[in-house]
Amino acid sequence: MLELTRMAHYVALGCYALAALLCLAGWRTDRLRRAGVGLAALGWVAQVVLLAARWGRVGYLPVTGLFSTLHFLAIWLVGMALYLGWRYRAKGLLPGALALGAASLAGASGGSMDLQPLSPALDTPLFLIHVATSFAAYGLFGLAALLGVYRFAGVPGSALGEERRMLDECLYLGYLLFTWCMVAGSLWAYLAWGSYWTWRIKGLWSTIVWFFYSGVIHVRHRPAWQGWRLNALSVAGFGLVLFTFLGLGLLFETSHPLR
Amino acid sequence: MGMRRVGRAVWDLAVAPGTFVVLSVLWCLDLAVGSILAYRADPRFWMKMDAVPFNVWLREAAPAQWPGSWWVYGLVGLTYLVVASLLLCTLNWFWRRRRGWRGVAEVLVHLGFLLIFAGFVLGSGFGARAQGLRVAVGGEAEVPDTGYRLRVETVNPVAGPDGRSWDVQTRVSLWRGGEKVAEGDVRTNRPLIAGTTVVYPQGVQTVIRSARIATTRGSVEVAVGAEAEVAQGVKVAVLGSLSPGQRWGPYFGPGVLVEVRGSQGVSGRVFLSPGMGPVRAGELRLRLVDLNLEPNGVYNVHQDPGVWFVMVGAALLTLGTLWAAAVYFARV
Repeated sequence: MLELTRMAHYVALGCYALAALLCLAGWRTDRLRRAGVGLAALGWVAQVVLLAARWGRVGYLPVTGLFSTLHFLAIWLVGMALYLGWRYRAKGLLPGALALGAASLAGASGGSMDLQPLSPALDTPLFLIHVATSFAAYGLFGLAALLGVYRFAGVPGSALGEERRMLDECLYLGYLLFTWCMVAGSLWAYLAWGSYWTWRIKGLWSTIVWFFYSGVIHVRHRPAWQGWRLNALSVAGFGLVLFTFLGLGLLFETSHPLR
Repeated sequence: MGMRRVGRAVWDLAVAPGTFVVLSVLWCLDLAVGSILAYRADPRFWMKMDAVPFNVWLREAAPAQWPGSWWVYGLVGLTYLVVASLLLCTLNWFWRRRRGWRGVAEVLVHLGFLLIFAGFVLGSGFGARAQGLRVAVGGEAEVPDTGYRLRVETVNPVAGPDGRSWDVQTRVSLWRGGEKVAEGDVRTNRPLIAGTTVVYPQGVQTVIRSARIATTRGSVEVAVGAEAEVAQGVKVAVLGSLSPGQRWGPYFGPGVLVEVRGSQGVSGRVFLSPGMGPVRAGELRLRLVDLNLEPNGVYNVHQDPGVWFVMVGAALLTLGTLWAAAVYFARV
C-alpha cells in the first residue's frame, strides 16, 4: 500500500504541476490547454483511486494526518476547478487551481504516508460527513480566494466572463457545505465529548471561519461590497481557513492534530 | 413625525445586514485574539471551561482569571448583540418583507441559529456537569447536582475490526428515587442518553483496593488508606496507590506506598510494586505478595436542559441550508 501511495502521490503531483504549466502556456492555444486539462484529470483520477484504495484498506475515510488531509484538499480543489472549468469554460481558472493543488500535494509530501488503523473515536458516520463537507468547503473557499486574486489582478478566469458568478457560487456553496460540517462536528462533539460546544481552540477557530463567511454571505450582493472589497474578503477568508486547518493543526495542541 | 423618523432609522440600522456583519467581525476578532492569548497562557484552558456549565465558569472562574478573561466577557456581550441583530432581522422579514416563499431558507437558518443560542443559554444557566465519576463494577455512585445515581453493571472489552481489543463497553443504568430511568451499553461515541441527561464513558481505570504484604514478622492484607498490625506495636499502613500506567515522581504503577509504624512513630516508608524483592523499611523487610485490583468505570455525566432547543435549531439550520442549496441549483 505504501508503494502504491507513493506512486499515486507523485503521479498526481507531477500531473498537476505539468498541467498548470501547460494550461498557463496554452492560455491562448487550445491544444496545449486541452493537454493540460487531460493531465489534470489524470492526476485527479490517480488521487481518487488512491483514496478509494486506502479507504478500502482501513475501512474508514482515511483523512487524518497532514499527508491525507492535504491530498483530500487537493482532490476537492482540482475537482471543483475542473467542474467550473467545464461549466463556465473557465480556462483561466485552471492554472491557478492546479498550482494550488500541486502546492497542497507538495506540502503533503512532508507528512507520513502510513495508514492509521481505525480508532474508536473515528468510528462514526459523522466523521465522514464532517470531513467530506469541510474539505469540500475548503476547496471552494480556496477557489473563491483564487478568483478574488484574479479579479484584483484583472486576469480573466472564464471565457464567458463569469468570474463574478463563479466567485458567488464558490462562496455560497462553500458556506452551505461548511455549515453542514459544523452541524455534523457539533453533533459528534455532543456524542463523544459531552457538549455540542466546547472551548477547544480548533472548534473556536472553526466557528470564527463560519461567522466570517456568514458575514461574507450577507454582504456579497450589497452594492457597497462589490469589487475589491469582496475580493479582499474572499482572500482573507481563505487565509483564515488555512490558519484554522494548517496553522492550528501544525503549531498548536489541538483536537485535530496534523503532526 | 420626527420621532417616527428617528425610530425608523434606528430600526433600519438594527435590521441591516451591515450591522450583523460589523458585529460578526468584532465577534471574530474578540474570539481570535482572546483564544490565542488564553492558549498561550495555558494550552489546555478549554478543559477548565468545559468542565462546568458556562454560567458557572463565568460566575466563579472568570472573575478570578481577570484580566485574562476579558475576551470571554467581550464575547458574551457581542454574542447577545449579534443575536439581537439576527432576531430583529428575522422579525423584520416576517413583518415587512415577506414575499411568498422567497427568503424562507435564510429565515430557517436564522431561526435555527436563534434556537441554538436559546438552548445554549438554557444549558449554561440550568445545566450540570459531573466529571471523572469513578464507579466500581457492580457499584453505584451519586451524580452530583442531577438527582441521579449511576450504576455500573458490567465491563466488557470490544474487539476492533482486526480482532484485537479496541475499546471498552460498560453497561450502565441511571436511577432516580429508587426507579431505573435508563439503561444501556456505553462506549466511545455511544453515550447513554436519558432525556437531557447523558452519560459519557471516559474509559476504565483499574483501582487498587488493598495489598497483601509479606514482612519479616508475618503477612497482612491492608486496604489502601488503612493500616494493619503485624506484631505487637508494629503496624503497616498503605498510604496510597498507583494504578497500572499511573506515575508519581519516580514511581510507576501498579504499586503501593507503604509506611511502617512502630511504638516510636514512623520508622520507614517504601514504595512496593509487583516483582520487587524484599525491601527494608524501619525494622521490617517488606515484599508485595499481591494486589487486589478492581476495575472502575470512569464517566462524565452532563445534564443540559437546553439540548433539545439546540437539536431542533440544528435541524432547522440544516433544513434551511438544504433548501437554499436546492433553490440555488434549481436556479442555475
